[in-house]
This record gives sequence, structure tokens and C-alpha cells, in this order.
Amino acid sequence: MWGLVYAIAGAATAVILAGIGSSVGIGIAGQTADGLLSEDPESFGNILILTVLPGTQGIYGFVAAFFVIIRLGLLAGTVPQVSAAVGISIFLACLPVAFGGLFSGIYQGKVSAAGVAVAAKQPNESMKAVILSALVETYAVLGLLITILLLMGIKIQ
Amino acid sequence: MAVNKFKKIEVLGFQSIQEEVLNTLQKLGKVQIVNTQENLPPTTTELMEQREIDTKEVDIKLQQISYIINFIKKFEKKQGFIESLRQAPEIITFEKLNKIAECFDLSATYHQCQELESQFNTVHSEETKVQTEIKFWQPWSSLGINIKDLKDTTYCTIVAGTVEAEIEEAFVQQMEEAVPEIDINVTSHQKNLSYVLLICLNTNKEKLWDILKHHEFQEIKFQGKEGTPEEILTHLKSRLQSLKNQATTLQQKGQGLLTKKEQGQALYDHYSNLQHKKKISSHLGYTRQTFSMLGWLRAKDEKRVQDGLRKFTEIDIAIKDPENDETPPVAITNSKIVSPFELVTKLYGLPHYKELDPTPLLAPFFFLFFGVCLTDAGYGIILSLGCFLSLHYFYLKEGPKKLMQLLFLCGISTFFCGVFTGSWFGDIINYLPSSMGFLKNIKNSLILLDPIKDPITFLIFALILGFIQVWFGVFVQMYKDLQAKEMQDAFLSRLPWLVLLPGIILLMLVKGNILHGALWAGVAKWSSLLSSGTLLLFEGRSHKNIFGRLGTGMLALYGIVGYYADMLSYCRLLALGLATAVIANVVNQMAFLTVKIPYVGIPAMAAILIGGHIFNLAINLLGSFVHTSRLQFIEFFTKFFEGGGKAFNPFAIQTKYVHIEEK
Repeated sequence: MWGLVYAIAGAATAVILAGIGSSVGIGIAGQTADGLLSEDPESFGNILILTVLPGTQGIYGFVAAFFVIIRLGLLAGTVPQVSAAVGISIFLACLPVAFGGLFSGIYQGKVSAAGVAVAAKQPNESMKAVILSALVETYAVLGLLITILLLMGIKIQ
Repeated sequence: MAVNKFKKIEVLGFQSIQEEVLNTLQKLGKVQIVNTQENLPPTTTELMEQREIDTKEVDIKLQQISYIINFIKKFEKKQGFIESLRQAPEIITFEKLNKIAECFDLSATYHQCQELESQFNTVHSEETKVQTEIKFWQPWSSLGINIKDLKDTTYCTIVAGTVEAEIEEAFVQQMEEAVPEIDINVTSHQKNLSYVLLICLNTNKEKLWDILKHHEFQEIKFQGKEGTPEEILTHLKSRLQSLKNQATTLQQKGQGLLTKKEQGQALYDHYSNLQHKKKISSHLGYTRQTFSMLGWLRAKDEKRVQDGLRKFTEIDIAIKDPENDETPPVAITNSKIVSPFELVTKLYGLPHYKELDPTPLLAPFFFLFFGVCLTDAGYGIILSLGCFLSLHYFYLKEGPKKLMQLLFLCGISTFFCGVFTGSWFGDIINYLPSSMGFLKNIKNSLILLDPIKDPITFLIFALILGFIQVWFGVFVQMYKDLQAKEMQDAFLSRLPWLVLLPGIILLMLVKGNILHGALWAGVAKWSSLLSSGTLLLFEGRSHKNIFGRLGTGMLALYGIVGYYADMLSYCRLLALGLATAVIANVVNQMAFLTVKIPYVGIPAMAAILIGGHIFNLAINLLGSFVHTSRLQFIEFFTKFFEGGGKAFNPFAIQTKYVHIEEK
């Protein structure tokens, strides 16, 4: 019984931590973007992209949690039998995307916020700022990938 | 198909025809004019002077016109978003433009707008003032006393003000108990305040104020008005009405100006081109009688420029190939199908003049990778269809047009990747009723690889793509070395890598017992050994010291980590592809859960499906574009691309509002 608890704790951790990373990141970028918006409302399209970029970490956390749900067959209606060892394994497998998302989200938000300054001064070059901001995201992607591969590898029964 | 060849043009002529020459060149739009002083040898520039051209007059006119346009816009009916995209700019001939510039009374219109705006402001501020006054008097409207008479008399004190509505009862009661012979009028209640008028004898004044203070009474003083509040209010309201009428009249006047908007916009373009021309004139060199101009043009435009300038007789034109130490501007041309990918190259920066254009090299990779990141047949159709429709029905500028073309192509690859992974708006086909089961069979028969069920195979596929692009990048660098006749670099620094990269992979496959046989083992062993040996011995060939040489070789071999790290970076293709598929599946699952709810089930399902898939498409479209670009810039370009070219920026007619044509 405890196995299921650990596994669900893993899925929840992935969504929560990656979600925090994204919210803080978008929060940082969004505040700076609003500053530019007050001066130049027409640049909205450009800076919207920069602002939503740190949002992907939250989605990665969500994807990972969904993989846990699929693996456990939670939506099938029957309560799966999971041993404690498997449950802890699932919990640990969720950590890469959780922490990768948490920190990369925050730092991506900071890079995006700085990128808003690029969009303000050189609107035509704002895509370059988007690419730079996406460099940070790489590590959330890697985290997600390892989480998924680990989840696929764990034998449930 | 590559970086364009450029030629240098030098023009020398009398100042009498300078204006005409510049006009002709601007209309041709094929020559980039550079600063004479900075680009000619000092012996020549000594003979010439540069002139500061005063653009103040044009600047002021442009300012006035943009003020007019912005002012008039306020009176326009708001256009729908789609409608505004569909609107093509007005086409105008030079002749007509000049006529407009002659006829349009700019300063009169400018002053007219300014006056109208100041009238608007007066009316608006007056309106707010009256409205505040109405708010002030409204609570007292039931008070049938002339305000002039509400003054302290010899025997009486009169106080008006507010208390909190909650304590009104207690307040009145206390007041009546404590102050004899008091008259309390509660005129109205507004926003939890009670408006009260109190009259008592002067002898009781102190008692009155004691209680007032105790109840946090806010005194209100009536000043400068006559008549009952009712009368004052009527007066104010009629004043407000007349102000509103005035505003309507002004609004109509403003709408009357709308007819001038189009002319104003044409004029804006006219003057901004004039300003551009004046700024360019300051790049020329001048003697007392002549001017000299220096510029760049594409070799293929040579004839057209010469033909265009033929009508001038008192002019000397020389068109030459650039010298070795000169850096011409850079422009790239590609075939119709590759040219949308120029957008990606330009995002990073143009190649330098003597480099090859990376656009055709990255195009197939970008096309494929984008599809792998998005992997959904349904999204591919929507993306391509959307881009196709907007290309046909909307008027788009050059940049957005290229982007739409690029996404149209990427939509096609997304479609095929989706078909091969069996993803059509996620797993929506699985939810269809069994009568449409044949669709499911068709879908399943087309699946080559399901990333959700078999992510490892997909991962290997992504890494193979990475290997191909990284290897190809080194190959391009070797090709560049061969072209530049750098044989040592080509054969001692690039070729070994081209052998070593697959060699090590073969070695791993042999060790992992995936490849069998002595032949493979031999090939793997010797290719790796020979190539790494070459690198170790020859990478440091510029060093005379043997230790320095071997050290550099060792360091070069360590580069192997970099190459394989680059290849691993392509695993993001799997992660992004999975993210799209999983979110699409979740959207479907949620949508079809609601379908059983009576009445609202079907609409709710439709809303979740449409909203969810649009969200998923938007967020993953951004991710696919950004990450696919990154793979080109960081993993691919670093192998061979230098960049740093300055974009060709010809002196041409540039417009913001209208489209100017010759005839």
C-alpha cells in the first residue's frame, strides 16, 4: 500500500516543483515585460514569446506525472498493487524533472526578463533573446527525458 | 544559390544633376551607398569635403504628419483584426504622390488637428468638473433650502456633513438627548454614508461639536452657489448635456478629417523617403562643382543600374570587382523552396562575404527536426492550412511572409512525422465509435514507431539524426578547407574526425555485441586507432616543441567529448515529441470524460478539445521552433560556420503605409 503513496508523492513532486519553477520564472519575466508594455504596448507579440518560455517546465512536470499515472494504471479504475521499493523508485525517477524544472524555470525567467530589454531596444532582434533563453531550458528537457526513461524502465509488478 | 557576388560602383558628376541621380537610384533600389570619406584613400578624400545636410525641415514635417495620422486614427471605426490583416496598402504612383505633396496644406491641417485636440481636452476637463459637482450636490437634492441662507445666524448654528450610515441611529438618538431644541435632517444615504443637516442654538454649540467629534462627523461646507440644491443640480445637468453636445459636434468634426488620413499616410511615406535621401546625401563627397558617390551593388544588377543611369550624360560611372581587403555587404539568394529557411540563417547572422551560405545545408535538417518535435498529423494539417490561408488571404510584409512559408513547410513534415508515429490530435481516433473503426486500422497500419510505447527506439532515432548532422557539419568544414586550398587542415584536422566519429560508434556496437564478425571488429578498431593517432600526432603541427605538439594533440582528442555531447543534445527531439503527444492525449481524455454529463456534455467536450489542442499546438510550436533553431546554431553551425556579414541594405523607396509604383 505504501508503494502507491510514494509513487503518487513522486508524481505530485514533479508537478509541484516544476510548476513552482515555471510560475516564478514567468513571474520574473512578466513583471519586466509589463514595464516595457507600459511604454510600448505594440511590442506585445514579441515579449509574449519571451514571457511564456519559462512556462514549459511546468508542462514537463505535468507530462512526467502523467507518465506515472499511465504506468500505474491509475485511470483504469482499479487500485494498483505497488511494492514500497517500486514506489520509492518511481518517486526518485520523478526528481530529475522536478528539480531540473524548478531551477531552470527560475533562471530561464531571469534570462527572459533580460531579453525583454533586447526586445525594447532592438525589436527586430528579439528572436535572438528567445534562443538564448531557450538554452536554459535544455536542462529541464534533459531532466524530463531521464525521468521518462526511468519510469519506462521500472518494472511495476 | 548562395552568397551574392557584389561589385563596387563609383559615380562622379556635376552637382546640378545630383538630385536626379539620387532619385533614380532610390527608385531602382539596387545600390547601397556608403560613406565616401571612410571608404576612399586619404589622397582622394583630401580633395573633397563632406557636407552636413540639414534635415530639420523634413523632420518637423514628418513629426507633424505622424501627429495628424495618430490624431485622425482616434475617430476611425475600429477595424476587426482579420479585416486589418486583409487590407492591402494603397497603390500610388510617383506622379500622384508628388501632386498630393504639392496640394496638401500640411501646416493648416496640423493646426486644425491641434486646435481640435485642445477643444476636446477643454470639453473633457469641463465635463469631469461638472460631473464631480453633480456628485457633490446629489445627496442634498431633497433639501429644499436656498444654499445662500444656510449660514449661522445670530442665534443659530448650522452644520452639514456625513456620518457612517451604521451609526446614524445612535448618532441621532444621542444628539436629541444631549442637545435640546435641535433640528436634525437626514437628507439621504449614499455608499454607507448618511448626509445630515443640523440646526441648533448657539448656546448649545459646544455640546453639539462634542458629539459630532465623537461620531467622526465629516463637515461639508457649501460655498459659492445660490438656489436650492435641486435648482443647482438642474443647472449642472443642463450644463453637462450641452458639454456632451459639444463633444459630439467635435467628434463629427474629427470624423470629417478622416478623408485626409489616406493622403496623410501617403505624405508620410513621401517625406520619410525624402529624409532618407537627404541623409544619404551627407555620405557623398563634394568639390565645388561635383559630387562623388561610392556604393555596392549585386553583380547581377550591374546592367540594370547602368541602364538606369544611362540618361545622364555628364556623369562618370565605374563598376569594379571588390579588392581583396574590402568587405562588401552580404545578401543571400536561394531557390524558392529553400528561401523560407533564410529566416533561420538571418536569425543567427549572415555569413561573411567569402563564406558559403548555410541555408541550403540546414534546410533539410530544420524541416525534419521541426516535424519530429511536433509529431502530430492533425497539428501538421492545421499548421500548413493556417499558413496557406494566411498567405493567400492576408496582406503580409516580407518578414511575416517568410515565416508563414517556413511554417507551411514545417507543417508538412509535422504531418508525416505524425502519420508515422500514429498521432492524430493525440489519440483522438481511438475514441471514435466502433462504426468508424476502419480509421483506426488505417492509422495503425501507417505507424512505424510509437514514441509513447517505445521511447528507447525513438531516442536512438533522435541520436542518429544528431550524429548525421554533427558529422555533416565537420564534412562541410572539410569541404570549405579544400575550397580554400588548406590541404593540411582538410586531411589532418577534419578527415580524421570524419573517420573517428563513426569509428567509435562502431567500436561500441562491436563491444556491445550488436555487430558481429571479425570484419566489423577490424574496421572499428583500425579506423578509430588510425584517426585518433593522426589527430594526436598532427593536430599540434604548428608547434616546434614535441611536447607542445603532443599536448595540443591530446587536447584535440579531448574534443571527442564535445562532439558526443552535441549528439546527445538531439535527445531533445524525443522529449519535445513526447510532450506534444502526451498533452494531446490528456486533452482528449479530459474531453471524453465530460461527454457523459447530460445537456452540457457535448459542448463541454468540444470546448475542451478545441481550447486544449490550440493551447498544445501553440506552446509546442514555440518549443519546436526554438529548439530546432538551437540545434542548428549551437550543434551544427559551430562545426563550420563563421558568420559576421553585414546585411545588404540598398538605398531604396521604403514605405510604411502605401505602396509606390512607377506607373
